[in-house]
Amino acid sequence: MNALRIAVAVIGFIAAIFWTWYIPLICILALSLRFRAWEAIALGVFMDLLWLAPGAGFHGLPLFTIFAVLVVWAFEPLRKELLS
Amino acid sequence: MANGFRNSGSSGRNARRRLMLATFLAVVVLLLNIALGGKLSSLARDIAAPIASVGGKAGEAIGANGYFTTRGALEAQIAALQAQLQQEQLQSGAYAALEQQNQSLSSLEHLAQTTPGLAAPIISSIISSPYGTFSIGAGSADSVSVGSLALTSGNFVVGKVSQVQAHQSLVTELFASGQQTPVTIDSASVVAAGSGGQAIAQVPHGVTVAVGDPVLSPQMGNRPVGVVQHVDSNPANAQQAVYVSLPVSLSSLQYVYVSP
Repeated sequence: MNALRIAVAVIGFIAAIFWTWYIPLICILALSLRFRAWEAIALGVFMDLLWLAPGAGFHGLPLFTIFAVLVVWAFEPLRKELLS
Repeated sequence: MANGFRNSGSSGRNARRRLMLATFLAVVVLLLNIALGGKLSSLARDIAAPIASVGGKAGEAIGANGYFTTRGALEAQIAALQAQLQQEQLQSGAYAALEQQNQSLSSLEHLAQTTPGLAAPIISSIISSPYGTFSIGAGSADSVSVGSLALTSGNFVVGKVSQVQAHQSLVTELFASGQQTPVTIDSASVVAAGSGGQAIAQVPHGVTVAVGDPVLSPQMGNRPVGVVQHVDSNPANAQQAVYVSLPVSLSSLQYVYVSP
């Protein structure tokens, strides 16, 4: 399981540089669904540091970080119920 | 078994603590980035740029490998034909835009004036950014400043420089989601709202708009920013929706011309 977690995280970070933006989005979702994945939040921060310009996006908000934090914590009750 | 339960409980608590720490650090990093004026973003792009460059070259080497020759040859032919078609569309759009500029009465414009600026390579992926941004390999050391325009070879405005480092800059596409650009279409002044790759402008029904009409931006020296790709003139709507896009695929660009 750790190998899967590492693999998805690596794919997400590579995709942040090379591939379409929805691949890191899917990786954040996948990591959050199964793990209490701090790397999902790190991936969101990385996307925003890399691509967010002042005034870009929705009033310059770091959407990927916000999304990652919300998704990771929103799935917490689901993870506790199904995985504990 | 009791130990197993205690261990799973403590590991769960540790994982939760790590998650809270990660959330806290994420907020700190983003606030620090804002406080430092984007220095952390610059650092992230400085790390990513050479990786993107090496990865791109590796991809090209793999693609040129004989193992993929047949598929590669067909894809190269398709790409060449698409590039030829895009070039002809670009030239056609550029001609129409230049013709319209020529007809507009501006005592300050000189047709033969050379646009100052420099050519800059695109050093990041165009498709990776969710915010419609990309990096170019020119910065403050090359006299690039925030607000400089990024142009195609046909003088179409691709975007504006939004962040500048010493040797690279971040460009925000004109048609990025949420970007509003005042434009003129057939002498009608409207606002084009970016929707990622294209823009939509609401034009009154009295204005005749045709596919292929150039779209100019008065704020950017009346330079063309795109061509009309589609007109939705449903009489039931108060206005007609005009879809505007560049006559060239951004992914096919390797260089842009940066003009102050």
